[in-house]
Amino acid sequence: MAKTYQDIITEARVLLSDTDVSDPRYSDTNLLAILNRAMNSLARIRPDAFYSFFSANSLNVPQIVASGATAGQANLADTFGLENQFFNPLVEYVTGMAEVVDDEYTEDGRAAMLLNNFKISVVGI
Amino acid sequence: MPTEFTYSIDRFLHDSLPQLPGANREVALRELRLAIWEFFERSYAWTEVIEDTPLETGDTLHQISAAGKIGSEGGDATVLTILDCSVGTASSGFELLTPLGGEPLAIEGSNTPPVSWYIASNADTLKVHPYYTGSESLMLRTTVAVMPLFNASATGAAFPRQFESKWYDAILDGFLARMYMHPRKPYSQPVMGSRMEKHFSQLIGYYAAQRKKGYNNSQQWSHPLGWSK
Repeated sequence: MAKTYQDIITEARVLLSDTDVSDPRYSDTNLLAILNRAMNSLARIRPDAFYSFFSANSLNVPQIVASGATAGQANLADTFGLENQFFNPLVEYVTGMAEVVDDEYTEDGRAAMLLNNFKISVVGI
Repeated sequence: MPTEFTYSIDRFLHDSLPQLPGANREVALRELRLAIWEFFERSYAWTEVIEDTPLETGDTLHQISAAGKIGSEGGDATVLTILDCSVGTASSGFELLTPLGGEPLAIEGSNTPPVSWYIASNADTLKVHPYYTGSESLMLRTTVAVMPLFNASATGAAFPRQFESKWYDAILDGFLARMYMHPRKPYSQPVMGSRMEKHFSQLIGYYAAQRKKGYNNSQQWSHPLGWSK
């Protein structure tokens, strides 16, 4: 079954040990904002990841929204529009960045490792 | 009879993407299409004979189209240039016309078959000299250099088996060279890319020479017309 943008957040929650849907530590809103930052970071490093989103000679990074997407946006439930090789780096970015901002449970080393993994995954082998 | 049109662009990607870790498939497809273009534009390696283009009367531009004329894949190919042209009919035979370097100083008509031809506009169009004013239904037979359209189907089995049996090494080198030259990607290898680009150019020269010899070591020029013409 095809991955969706929601799967990035769902899988990040597993790594964050935040799978209790009744009382999440990280709100959907925050993780969604991080996901959008992840997409923009990816576009900076690997603009070719968004090759199929080029329009009128412009790089268009879709803004992920919870629902009701309009032009230039994609819903969380939409099929992941990039190649699958970029799925895991985005999960790592969301997880790492969430841990960076988590004061109470922060693990700086783990967050740094995850964010570094993101970069290595998209520009290294 | 061999099955001629069996090769798809997608098979190149299937074979070569493992050499390009982290490559975006659509970016790779674009570079592959550009490499294929460059190969055919510079070598004229893929040639076809286009039959039965009606010779129009008057000073008319004839466009030679591959659509519906080349095996089953004419819709995926485009004529690069016209290499030779003859005129006649299936029953009486064809006579090779002399190519001219450009438009003759005097545009003249004649009710006898033309003796020469020239490219007047885009390289897939020709005019004959003198232009025909007769009433007989004559046909043009042209040998053309062909290349795949840029937007040709990537997955359809549309191209000649020579893609695999002859030109594979050249196109693969050209494709990988373009990819390896990408800056700061997991698959970037500029030194290797430079080497492959050089080899690509050498192979273009090799296949261009093969085509000039008709792939059978024959001389590829025609005798000048005699005084009777």
